[in-house]
Amino acid sequence: MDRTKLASDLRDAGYLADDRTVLVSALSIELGKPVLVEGPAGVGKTELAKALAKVTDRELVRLQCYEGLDEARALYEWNYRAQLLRIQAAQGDGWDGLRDDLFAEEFLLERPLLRAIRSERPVVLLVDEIDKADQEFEALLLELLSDFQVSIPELGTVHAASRPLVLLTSNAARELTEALKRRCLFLTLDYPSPERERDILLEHVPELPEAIAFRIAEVAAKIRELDLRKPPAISETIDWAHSLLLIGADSIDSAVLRETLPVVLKHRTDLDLVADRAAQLLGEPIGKGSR
Amino acid sequence: MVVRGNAGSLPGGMEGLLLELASALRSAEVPVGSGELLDASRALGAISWDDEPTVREALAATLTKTAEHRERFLALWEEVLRHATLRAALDAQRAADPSMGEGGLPGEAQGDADGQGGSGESSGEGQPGGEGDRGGPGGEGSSSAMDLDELSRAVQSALSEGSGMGSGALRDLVRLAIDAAKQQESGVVGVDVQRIRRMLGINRGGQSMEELSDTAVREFTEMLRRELEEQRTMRTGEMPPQRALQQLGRDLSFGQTTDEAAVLKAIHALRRELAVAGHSRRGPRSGPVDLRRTIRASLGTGGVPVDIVPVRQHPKRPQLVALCDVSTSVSSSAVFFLTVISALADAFARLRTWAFIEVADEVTELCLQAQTAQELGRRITKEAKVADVTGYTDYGRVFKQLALDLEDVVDHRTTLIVLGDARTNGRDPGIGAFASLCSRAGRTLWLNPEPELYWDYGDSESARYAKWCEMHRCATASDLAGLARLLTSPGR
Repeated sequence: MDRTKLASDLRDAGYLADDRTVLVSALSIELGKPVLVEGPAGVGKTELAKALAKVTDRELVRLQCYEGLDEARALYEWNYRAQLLRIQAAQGDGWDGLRDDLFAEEFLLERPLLRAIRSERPVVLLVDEIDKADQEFEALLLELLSDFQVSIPELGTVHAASRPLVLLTSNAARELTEALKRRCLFLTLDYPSPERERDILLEHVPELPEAIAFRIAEVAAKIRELDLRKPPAISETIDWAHSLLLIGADSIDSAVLRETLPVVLKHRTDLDLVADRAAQLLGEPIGKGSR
Repeated sequence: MVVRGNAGSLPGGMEGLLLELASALRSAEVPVGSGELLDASRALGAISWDDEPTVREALAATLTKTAEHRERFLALWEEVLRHATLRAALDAQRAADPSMGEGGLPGEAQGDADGQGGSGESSGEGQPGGEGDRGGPGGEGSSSAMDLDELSRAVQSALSEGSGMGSGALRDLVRLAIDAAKQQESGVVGVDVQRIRRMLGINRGGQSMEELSDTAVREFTEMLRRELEEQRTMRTGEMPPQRALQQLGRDLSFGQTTDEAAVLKAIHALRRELAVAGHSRRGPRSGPVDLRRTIRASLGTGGVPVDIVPVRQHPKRPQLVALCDVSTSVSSSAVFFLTVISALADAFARLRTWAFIEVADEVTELCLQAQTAQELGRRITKEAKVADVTGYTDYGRVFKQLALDLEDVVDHRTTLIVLGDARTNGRDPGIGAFASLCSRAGRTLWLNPEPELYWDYGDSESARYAKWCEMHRCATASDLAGLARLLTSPGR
């Protein structure tokens, strides 16, 4: 897999990847291994999956994890209603005739995981926020991730028709099991450097002047250094850029910062903290910017 | 250089490096299974080896699975790579000159080391082989008429400009410094590093420290150590011992929250071990008979004492007195110490704690009240009277004060634990007072956060104190594991 090409393709898909991300993505495609992407919320973990789907021209199948996620929601479920109807409609038929029908493909509801491996065309499977799911659910993933197959008692083992490209994302809210981690390549994403964030901003808000974009990135990086409950995500700085453009601000001073802060920060305590330090946050870069 | 194209220059090729890396990672408690190794070698097959960062990241992605393990990998990577490169260079030298005595021509050897050094540090210098830069720094080194002050100034300004400048220029300075110190070379790398740092005025406590960032100093020290090791290796033909992770990144063990978790985990284990300590050492069920309980038990058998109940033996728990240095020179380990103290406070009901800098003050109550080590640290600085004028530790004054204060507290049943770096800041160490404390206590343990290599160097008085107590290094989570054994063992 040509990495420079992958990088430029990702860029065309609107995702500015750093070298490491490109490398691990390329390795994942090459080796057919799932990637475990870890990092704070809002550094573009999910976006990476979307961009990879675009680049490889595959459908993105997304499974959002949450506490209590189970087989029925993630893998497959029998369509009980349809099965009941089938039973009713078959009044009079013997059980023998019915039995074979009842667990036919017709009554199988595909959930994301099953869909991902049964798809004729290869897909990108995104298992989002795996750390939110229970540990039992991870066990369910193991078979899928290493052999790309799923055992369904009534149907037998379903082998992957095509090999999906799998990404798992985690905010490191809890430790994942060793077994799961062993099956994956590991990629940590962190907040981007101001230069990269500037490029990202320009990519998403093309009409933004470059100087402002860099300034936003710089201030955002400073804000992230503070001890906040929820540091601003990249998507939030993009929103910020949009709103600065909307109010027609041509520089960031304390007043503008205070007005537009709620776009970036969503906690009261965070807002207070940053508002307090506004001058300090902006102070030094102004001097730098004037040269 | 290893990864720059020809893996053949490495004994065992890339696999050799991979296995060495795996064993280093395993010893740093990063679980690396054969599955990971297979992945790693497959990944290596999928990329070109021209670019060191690519190889590093490919290996990091396949060998490590958590952010913490990744950190450890990065800390170890350079060391392992450098080690492998050094070995390859040594083999090459041996192949070229099979006799390979001490005669190994310093100049020649150094030239070789120069060439190889480039790849361990950064792949930035793109010399195709070791030949290219042989003339430059080597030649300059021999004609070093550079005055010591000038050199020291040059190094300091290079460091204060930050590590952004090319490492090549700094490396040249490092070589000059090594040459300048050649006459007094001791042969022990750690000692020479300290000596050269001192010679250049780059030392903790020197005035220059304020201007220089910690990272710059650390980088410089690291480079100095490497350069010395390389030269030594090429001279003697012995590979330097591979250093463990703890020595590579001393701040790694409790800098971050994750590492704090490791400490807390060790503390947890320590607590458990302390809770059962003593029980296992109980002797066979013998000894005096507990008459009351034997008669009680005999009631069931009509007054015939079938079950003889011996007197219950209680596990011996020493009475602990902890003295903890909370000054800034040990600030990185102070939190660690305080964590240990609060763990001990849980396990031993009879623990009394004194914190000290220039004056000692009892903080037993605070230890019981504070929930976390951080809170304890804050409250000690706020509520206890430990600092006086300068804020530097004054062991002499503290020990003299404690020898009086602890007159009624310390007796032969007491185990005295001192937590501190034994750096007196040039003041009177108060050996006499310390000795009288020790002789009164049943046993004295000194837990020193510094590696043994640094003991007695500079203003450290470790050896003089160690004459009166058992001094142990204790700075990392793994050191803690030994502490429980230490505390419950009979001692000397």
